Amino acid sequence: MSDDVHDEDATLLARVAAGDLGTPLEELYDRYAGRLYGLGVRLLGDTGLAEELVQETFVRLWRTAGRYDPERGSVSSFAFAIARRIAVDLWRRPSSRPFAEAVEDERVAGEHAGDSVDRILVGLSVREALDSLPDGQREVLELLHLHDLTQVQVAERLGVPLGTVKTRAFYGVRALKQALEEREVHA
Amino acid sequence: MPDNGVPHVEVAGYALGKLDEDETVSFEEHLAECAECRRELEELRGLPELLGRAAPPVRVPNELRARTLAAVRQAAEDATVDGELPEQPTSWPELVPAPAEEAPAATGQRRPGPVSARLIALSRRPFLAAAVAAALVVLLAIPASMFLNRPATTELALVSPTGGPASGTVRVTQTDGGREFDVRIQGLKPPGQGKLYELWAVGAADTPDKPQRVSLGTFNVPASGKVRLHAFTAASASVFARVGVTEEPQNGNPAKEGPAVLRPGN
Repeated sequence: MSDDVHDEDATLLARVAAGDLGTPLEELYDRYAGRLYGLGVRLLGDTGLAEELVQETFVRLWRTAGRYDPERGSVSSFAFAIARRIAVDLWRRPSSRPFAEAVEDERVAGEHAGDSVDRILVGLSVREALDSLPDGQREVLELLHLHDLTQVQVAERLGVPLGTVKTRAFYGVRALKQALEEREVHA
Repeated sequence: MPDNGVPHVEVAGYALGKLDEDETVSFEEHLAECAECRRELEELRGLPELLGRAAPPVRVPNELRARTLAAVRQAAEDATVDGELPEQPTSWPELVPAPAEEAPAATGQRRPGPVSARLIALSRRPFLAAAVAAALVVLLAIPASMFLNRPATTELALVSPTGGPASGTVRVTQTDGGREFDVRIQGLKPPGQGKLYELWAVGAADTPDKPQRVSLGTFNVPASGKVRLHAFTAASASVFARVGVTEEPQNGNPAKEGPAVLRPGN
């Protein structure tokens, strides 16, 4: 499944590199903007800077699209590597945080920032994968796991038969696993 | 397939640790005989831990999509004008592990190669086809040495937002250090008592509630109404593309508070 997504991403980026800034660019935006924006908010602590991170990442993705080699990695790792470096630039720009308190530089630019970026991305990918599920399935999984209810309690809460809760959970975990793989997160 | 008579469907509840005792016993009996459920369970092994890591929901501003797409298309258009191209296929290993010293994209990637090579590269790109014809005309008229080494300079106009006499021009030069601004203003009254003027690089997303702007410095205007300024910034040329001037109180607050006195003209 995720191989399909990789191939599609690579095709989209190749078309962007060839100058098609219509549908392929829009499709890449729709696939990545959510996680890029979330990463920006988490790393930089500011929605304005997060927006700038998204814009600048796509500009630089376009500029460097010709350098992308699908043999060496996914579009996703290519794009987030670009984003991380832009985040460092944004973080270090004094004018972008005139009154910001001294926050650990570590999180954005430090030696272990790669790990923390990866961790943040996993969290964002799980959120996005959950949000991509049909409402009924997402609701059941959230109530079961995040709210720690039993299947019976979920059935009561939603006013549906227990069998429905079990079926939604069954299809939900499968769909979630696939949605995660499409985002390069493996259970 | 899930079926109320067959407990395959319980695999999800089991993986998430949500079966009660009776259900667990009954599912484990089923599991011993069902290779499909064992495989499924194996595949779901890491899922509970991942679910626990879900980030809170994030809402991406709707208008960011149009703005981002416009920024990329604008960068492509600017590149057409400047003869700057997206990078040609090479390899990208240096992009990933390298530290953050990457030069601002617009300048660091400019390759003043032979004119003929640039034209060949241009002609590979259908969306630049029209620009190639225009570039040829320009090339014929300008000595090649000028073309190859010229810094990318553009000129912007400043006008009064109220139709007043104040106006200006800004020559913007892209250098290795960022953008340099050579600003000439005329017809602008000296700032009011306790106030000064501030020059800004402004993003397309700038609103009074959500500023997207970087200060390029503050200045005064003498009684002649004329002033010439030099400023520079490394802030992204594609994001902070516009230039404007506001009148600000001298209160030490770096945020924009005052009204615009010069804004981009056409």
